[in-house]
Parts: sequence; C-alpha cells; structure tokens
Amino acid sequence: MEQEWILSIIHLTSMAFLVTSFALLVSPQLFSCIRFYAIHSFLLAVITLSTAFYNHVYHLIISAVLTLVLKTIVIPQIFFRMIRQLGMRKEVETYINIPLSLLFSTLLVFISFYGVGNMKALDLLLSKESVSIAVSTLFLGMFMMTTRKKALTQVLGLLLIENGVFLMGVTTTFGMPLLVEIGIFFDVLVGAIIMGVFVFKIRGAFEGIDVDKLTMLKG
Amino acid sequence: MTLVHLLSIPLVSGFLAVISPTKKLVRLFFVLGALILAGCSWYFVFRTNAHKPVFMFSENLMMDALAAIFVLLITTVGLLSSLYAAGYLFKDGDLAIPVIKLRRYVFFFHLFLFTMLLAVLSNNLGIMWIAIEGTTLASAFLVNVDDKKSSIEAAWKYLILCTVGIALALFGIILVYYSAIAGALGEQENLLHWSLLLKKAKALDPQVMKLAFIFVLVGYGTKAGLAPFHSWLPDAHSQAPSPVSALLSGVLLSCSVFGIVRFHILTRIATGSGFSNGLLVFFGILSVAVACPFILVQADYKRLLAYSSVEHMGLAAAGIGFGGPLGIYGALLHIVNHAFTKSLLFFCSGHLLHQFQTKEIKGVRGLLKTNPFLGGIFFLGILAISGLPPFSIFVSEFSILSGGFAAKRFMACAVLLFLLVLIFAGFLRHASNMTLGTREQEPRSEKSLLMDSVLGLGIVLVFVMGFYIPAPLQSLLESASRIVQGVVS
Repeated sequence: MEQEWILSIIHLTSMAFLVTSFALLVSPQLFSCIRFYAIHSFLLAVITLSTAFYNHVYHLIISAVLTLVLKTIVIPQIFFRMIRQLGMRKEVETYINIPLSLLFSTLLVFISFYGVGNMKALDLLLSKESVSIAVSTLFLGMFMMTTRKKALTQVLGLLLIENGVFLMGVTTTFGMPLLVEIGIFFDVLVGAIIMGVFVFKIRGAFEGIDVDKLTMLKG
Repeated sequence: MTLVHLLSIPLVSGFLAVISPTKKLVRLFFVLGALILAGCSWYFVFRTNAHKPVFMFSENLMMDALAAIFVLLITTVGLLSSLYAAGYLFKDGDLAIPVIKLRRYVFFFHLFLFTMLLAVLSNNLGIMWIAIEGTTLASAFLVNVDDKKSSIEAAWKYLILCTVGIALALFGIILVYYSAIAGALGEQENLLHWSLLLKKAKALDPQVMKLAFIFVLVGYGTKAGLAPFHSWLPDAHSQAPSPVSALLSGVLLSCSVFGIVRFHILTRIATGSGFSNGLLVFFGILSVAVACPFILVQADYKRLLAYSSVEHMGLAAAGIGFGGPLGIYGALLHIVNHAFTKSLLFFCSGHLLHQFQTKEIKGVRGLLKTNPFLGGIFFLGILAISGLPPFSIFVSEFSILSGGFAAKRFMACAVLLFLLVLIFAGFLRHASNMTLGTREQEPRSEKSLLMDSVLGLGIVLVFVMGFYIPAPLQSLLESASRIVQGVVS
C-alpha cells in the first residue's frame, strides 16, 4: 500500500516536472524563469527522494539533498544576485514569439514520447514515461538555448538540459555511483559560476548581454 | 611512483604558482611544473610495464597502453607549450601582461593539464565525463586571457556549446550504465568501470548501446571538433593565445577522441556489428569535407590551422572507423603526429602574430627573406601538416588509407584522397603567399632564444618521426591498437 503511494507520487511529480519545463520556457519575465527553475529542481529532488525510498537505494537521498541545496537554493540565488547587479531589464527576449515556441515544444514532447515508447529495451522500467519526460526536458532545454537572446537565459536552458539528464539518471539507473554523482554536482556548480563570470565579462565588453551581438567571429 | 603522484604534480605546481609573489617565481613554477610532469610521465610509462594495465583507487584509475600514449602526448605538448608561453606571455617592457593575470593563466594551465590527464587515466566512465567537462571549464579562462571582445565571444561559444555537448554525452553514459544494470553484470558500484564493461560487453543490450554511442559521439564529438558540431573550434583556437591554441588543438581534441574510442570499443563488441565504425567513418569524412572549403578560402592563418585540426580529427575518426590493425594503428599514430605538427604550427603563429601584428594571411609576405629561420620552419610545418612525405603525417595518413582499402571502403577512401589533395593545394597556396615574395616594410623582431628553440625542437620531432619511431613507443602504439581492436590480452 505504502509502495503504491510512493509510486503515484513519482508519477505525479514527473508530470509536474514536465509542466514546469513548459512554464520555464514560456514565462515572459526573467525572475519568474528563475523561480520556475527552482521549482523544477525542487520537483527533481522530490522524485529522487521518492525513488530512493521506493527502490531502497539510500545513497540517492544524498543526491536529493544536493539537488535541493544546490539547484533550488544556491544557483537561483546566484542568478537573482546577478540580475540585480547587472541591473538588466527583466523581460525575456526571444527570436520566435511565445505561442509559436509553445507549439514547437509540444511537438518536441510528442516526438520524444513517441521515440521512447518504441524503445523495447526500456520495457523493464517501472516508469517508462519518466524517460520520455527526461528526453522532452532535454529537447526543451536545447530549444530554449537556441531561441533566446540573453546570455543568462542560455545558461538557464543549459541547466534545464542538465535537470533532464539527472531525471533520466534517477529513473533508469537510480543515480550514478555516489563518487560520480558528487563530481557531476561539482561540475554543474562550477560551470554555473564560470558562466556567471563570463556573463559579466560580456556585459562589460558588449554593453548588454544579448548574445546576438556576439557575431564578430565568422568563416 | 603511482598514478596519483602523476596527477598531483600539475595541481601542486598550479597552487605554487598562485601563491608565489613575483613574476620570476610564477614563471619558474610554470615551467618547472611542466618539466617535472613530462619527465615523470615518461619515466612512469616506460618503467611500469605499460602493456599490462595499472590500476589505482579501487580500479577507478587505470593506465593501459592506450591511455599511456595520451599521457605522453599531454605532458610532452604541455611542456613545449609552457616553454613557449614562458617566452611569449612573460615578456617585459611596455607589452608586459600584469602578474595577476599571469598567475591566473598559470593556475588554469596546470589545472587544464590535470583535467586532461584525469580524463585519459580514469577507468570509471563517469569520472572520465567529469574530467572532460572539467577541461572545458579550466580552458575557458585560457581562451580568454586578454579580455578582448572577440576572445570573450569565442570563450562564451566554447563554454556553451561544449557544455551542451557534454550533457548529451552524460545521457549516453547513463544509457550504458542502464544496460549494464539491466544485464546484471555485477556490483553496482563498479558497473561504470570500463575494464569490467569490456569483459562483459557481450551481455550489454545492443539497442541501448547503439543509442548510447550516438549520444556519446555527438557529445564528445562536439569537444573533439567533429563536423557538424565544430563551430566553436575555429573561434576558440584563433582567439586563444598561441601556446594555448597549441594545447587545445594538439591534445584537448585528441582527449575527446580518446573518450569516443573507449565507447566505440564497447559498442562494437556489444552490438557485434560495424554500427559504430560506420558512424565514425561518416562523421570523419564529413569533418574533412566541411573543413576543406574553409581551408581553401581562409583569410586568417590561425583559423586556417584551426580548420586543419577539424580535418585531422576527422581523419583520425575515419581511421578508427575503418578498423583493422592498419587503420587503427594509423589513427593513433596520426593523433600523435598531429599533436606535434599542429602545436609547432601554432607556435609559429605566435611568432607571426608578434612580428606582423595581424592574423590575416595577406598581412604576412616574404617571410623567407625577412626571417629565414621562422619562414623555413613555417613552410616545412605547412608541408608536414598537409601530408607531404617525408614528414610524419604522411606516414600515418598513408596507414589510415591503407586501412580503408583493407576494409574495402573504396568510396570513402576515394573521397578522402580527393579532399586531401584539395586541402594540400589550399595549404600550399597560402604558405607560398606568406613565405615567398618580398615585403616592403620591415617586421618588428625581438629575439627570444627560448621561443626559437621550441620551434627548432618541434621541427626536429616532426621530421624524425617521419623516419623513425623509437622502439618503446612503437610497441606501445601496437599494443594500444590491439586494445582498440578489442583483442583482450
């Protein structure tokens, strides 16, 4: 009985995870983007924790705590501070408008559900749709990176991709070995910080952080 | 001495450089660290029997013959690059770079060496991933040393594209891990160990492994500069300071190819088919084909060299894809030769940039007359990189193509030969424009004995490797190519 409860929590949070990915993609304000990212990571932590209890793999608890601390608190805080220091406008600027990108992303989600559904090798898994959701998040993150103008939103897209990959890891393999998991967290954190440093450098050199100004190098 | 000692040398020297107060000390630790690292790695590789893998840290670290070659490559090119940089960046006078920047440079340089070493020495596929991501993070600051607009742009593109690529590779690694768990191959803690996966590769699910290989190829392929994921490469290589370009082009790309090769071996055994071979050949030839027109019409000599790296990584990938003793041996030798030749050329580009203050090909004329030493080495280097005998790259290209013919991939070989001829013509045109003819105004020249001797050493290496490969290195290459063929000794 209890196990069933946990399983349905996993299903529910996975769905919410996908919905949050959409919300992140279409929200017009930078602040709400970051808040949605924090929620996204929080849901990932919940999924990780439930998987830990459902499958009795307790080292996942550490991974869940790390997700909670780093991705729902530390990284969003870094971002909030960065926006305040940059004093930038808060609207998100996109190359294609939001209804159209919503349409595209629905298509991407459809493709990933269809593709993963055809993979017979994944039939052993309890929640195959989690894999589809992970792959969709991956696609949505890439989509976000290619259609946004601000350097900061590109980094958000990257973090979205990383969350997708983490969901994949948690649901298919119950996380990597602990040593590897901690290393990956370290890389994500350092990566976010270094990209932050470069966002400041871009602002200093290009008077703004629109990446469509980065077109000097060609050929 | 163990693998851990080897890995700790660059960390220690990076740390020492950060805390040293004067420019002289920073420079000392910079060069001394690289020198000790190179010496120790040569000693270590040839002292321990490299034909039998050495393990450490509950098998998380491993050095087999394949890894040993890359260790030698990283440390040797690292040493050359640091010697060159000691003359190139540590200038005095009005062009001097502030010591705080130099300290940062030296720190990230040694960190970069450390992450590359960790990448090739890790037996655990997850740790290898962490290290390869680490190379991106460490070298982003090296690409942007001068904080110019164009270098910031290049570093940003490099950082973003490679991180996305590498996230995809992580996806592939998770798939491999999944198929190892599903196949119930053993203790979960060890299931990412390459040596274990290799032993039980037949039990891995072929369909999942194919998918995983695609993800890893795209991911690490981005880092290796395989087309069509190479778009960051010419920017980063042309904007980085020349000693860094040499390191990026000579060894960083090779390290990513190394990552792909590890997965290729597993995939080939697991699927029992030439699936991954076909993909490698396809992307290899595509890289050569994409690089070709850019080489022909290039206006910037550093970008010219960068596109040539795309071409050569493509050739190495194709060689691995052709398979067979000839193709694989050729590809490994090609990686070694390319590392030395390309780093030599990037060092030359440092000289050129310094003397002519421009990266444009048409800004450099009459090099042989004004500076016969540099002009001669540059011209010979260009001949070597475009695959002319008697230089070393000719030998490895020949071996790769013979491997292709042996594998009955005649179409692929014909296309490659055609493209190589075109690229040769392009290089020859650029090189003759730059070195021959006369120049009206006298270029600035400051002699730096250190930088010149690095160039001299480089050309000797390139020349000698064409005739004679030392016996220990030869046997190392042979046992490495047996590993790639999947012959478990």
